[in-house]
Amino acid sequence: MIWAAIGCFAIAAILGGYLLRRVLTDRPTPKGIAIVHGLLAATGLVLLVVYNLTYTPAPVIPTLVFGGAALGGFLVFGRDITKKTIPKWLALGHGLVAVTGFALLLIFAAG
Amino acid sequence: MLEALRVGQGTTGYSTGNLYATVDRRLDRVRSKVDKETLKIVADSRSAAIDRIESLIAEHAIACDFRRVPFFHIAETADGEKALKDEFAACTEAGLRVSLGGPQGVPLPFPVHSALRLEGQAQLNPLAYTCALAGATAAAGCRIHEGTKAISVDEEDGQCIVTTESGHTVRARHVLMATHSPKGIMFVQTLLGPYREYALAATLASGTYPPPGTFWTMTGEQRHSLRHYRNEAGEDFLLCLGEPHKVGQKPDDAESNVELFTRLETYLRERFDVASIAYRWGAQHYRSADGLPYIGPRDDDSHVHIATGFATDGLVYGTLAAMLVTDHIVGRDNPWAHAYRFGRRTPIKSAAAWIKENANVAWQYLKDLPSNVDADHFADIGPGEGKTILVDGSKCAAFRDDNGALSVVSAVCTHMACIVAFNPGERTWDCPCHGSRFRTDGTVIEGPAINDLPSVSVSIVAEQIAKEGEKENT
Repeated sequence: MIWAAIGCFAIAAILGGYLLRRVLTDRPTPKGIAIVHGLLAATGLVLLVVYNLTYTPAPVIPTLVFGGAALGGFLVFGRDITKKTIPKWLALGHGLVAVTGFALLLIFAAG
Repeated sequence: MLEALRVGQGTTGYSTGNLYATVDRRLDRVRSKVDKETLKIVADSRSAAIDRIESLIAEHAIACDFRRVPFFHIAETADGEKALKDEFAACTEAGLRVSLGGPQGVPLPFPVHSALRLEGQAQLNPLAYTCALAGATAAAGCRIHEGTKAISVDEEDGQCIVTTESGHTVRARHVLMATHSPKGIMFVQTLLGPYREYALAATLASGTYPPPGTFWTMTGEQRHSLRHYRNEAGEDFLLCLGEPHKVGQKPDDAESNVELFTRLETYLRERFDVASIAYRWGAQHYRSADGLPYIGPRDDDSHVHIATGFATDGLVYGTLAAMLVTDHIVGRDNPWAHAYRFGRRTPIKSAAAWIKENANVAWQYLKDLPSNVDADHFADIGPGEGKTILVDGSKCAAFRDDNGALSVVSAVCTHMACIVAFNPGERTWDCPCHGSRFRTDGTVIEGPAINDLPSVSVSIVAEQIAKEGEKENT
């Protein structure tokens, strides 16, 4: 289950990188990519929560970090579809938090 | 009064001018979602709105061809009989005096199976009526500013502040946003389905037109509205309206809306001795999730009033909205107000339509992938065609006019960032999510979008065309 979550997060990260590049170069983000990115990340997070409830030890800290990244993602997407400017620091911050969560999750899985 | 275009030049001027106490989507469908009292309110309030229109016309001596006519709901084949019986039951329950019978008494030159008849309905010329009413309003002291686009409506200390495109502000105690769909982003837009419908004005070789009346016909799933119209020059036309589809989306079983005009023409030619098609046009409407419009202040403490979700019944519902909003502003109780309250939540009655509309919106967003464009090169866009194309990595909407000149604007709708689609029948860019429409130069025509589609720099377009040329040569 944890490897399925990692797989979802990995693909979401690739799409997220593409979206981040669009935001940083002031280009519109393809909403199809943004939605698939969000759905994959949400699937990964759900799998992670289920893993937390099922196994011990559990990757609690990566899960919390991903939860924070998810909130940032909602904020970014909300601003995007309401045609408000996405602050670059917000997009970067969302990405950095998610990457941190991903690294912590990998360390947990490898350990 | 601030009018972005000219009075009556939006949807009103494209209406076929039929006024009726029942509703476009059938009273029977409303009955399935509301109680008997509300059903009666719908019929009573709509009848009162028609009476109000008649009294305004008399009061201001408006020449707009208003006349009381019978309304027919017609089943062309036996398939429609049950729907007519259900509609008859709903109309009767609503207190409307209807009769249901066979083909006898239906003054149309083609065979029909059965018909429901409702006396005392009406017809007018909506543009003549609206312009004359605006004139009477101006004479009474109302200042009308045409060509004045409002770009925001704010509330501050109990006052409404409307800002126009030129940066001017208008302060008022109350504001009514009579913009079809409210402008800007609002939750109510998730409860509205934007549709376009098409109309033809045909001349008949025999010169024998149906007598005054509104004729709604049903053929299987297809519905058409027919009426006779005589213009100021004394020329006669048969108006035919039908073929609705979601704005900005390909119609079911048709390549484009151009085919829908052909279908309408075929429908007419199969039933009448059509000599020529003199005019063709489209008009937009917004269907509410629970079948009734949303009318009233945008929240309990607000002085900004909204009226939307009229479906194709806007001439009557628009008048009714004016009556309800007036009563609210002057503090007069109106027994019909609660049925149409803007902020009503009807989750069970609205669920099916809400899910359908918003799943469709989500699908439109999902289709926004980098590779999903209509053309790879500007050379792929022929005269009279509009296609989406990637320019400098961004999706653009490119239109080539009949002389070969290109106009290129952003394809990202300024309302909620959906990708617009070309409407070949009317040569506009239409948003498939919430129904905003734009001219080929990007100017907003209608819908919730406030801002125009931004133009793409000529130098960027020229650079891309040059690159395309180089590729072609190598």
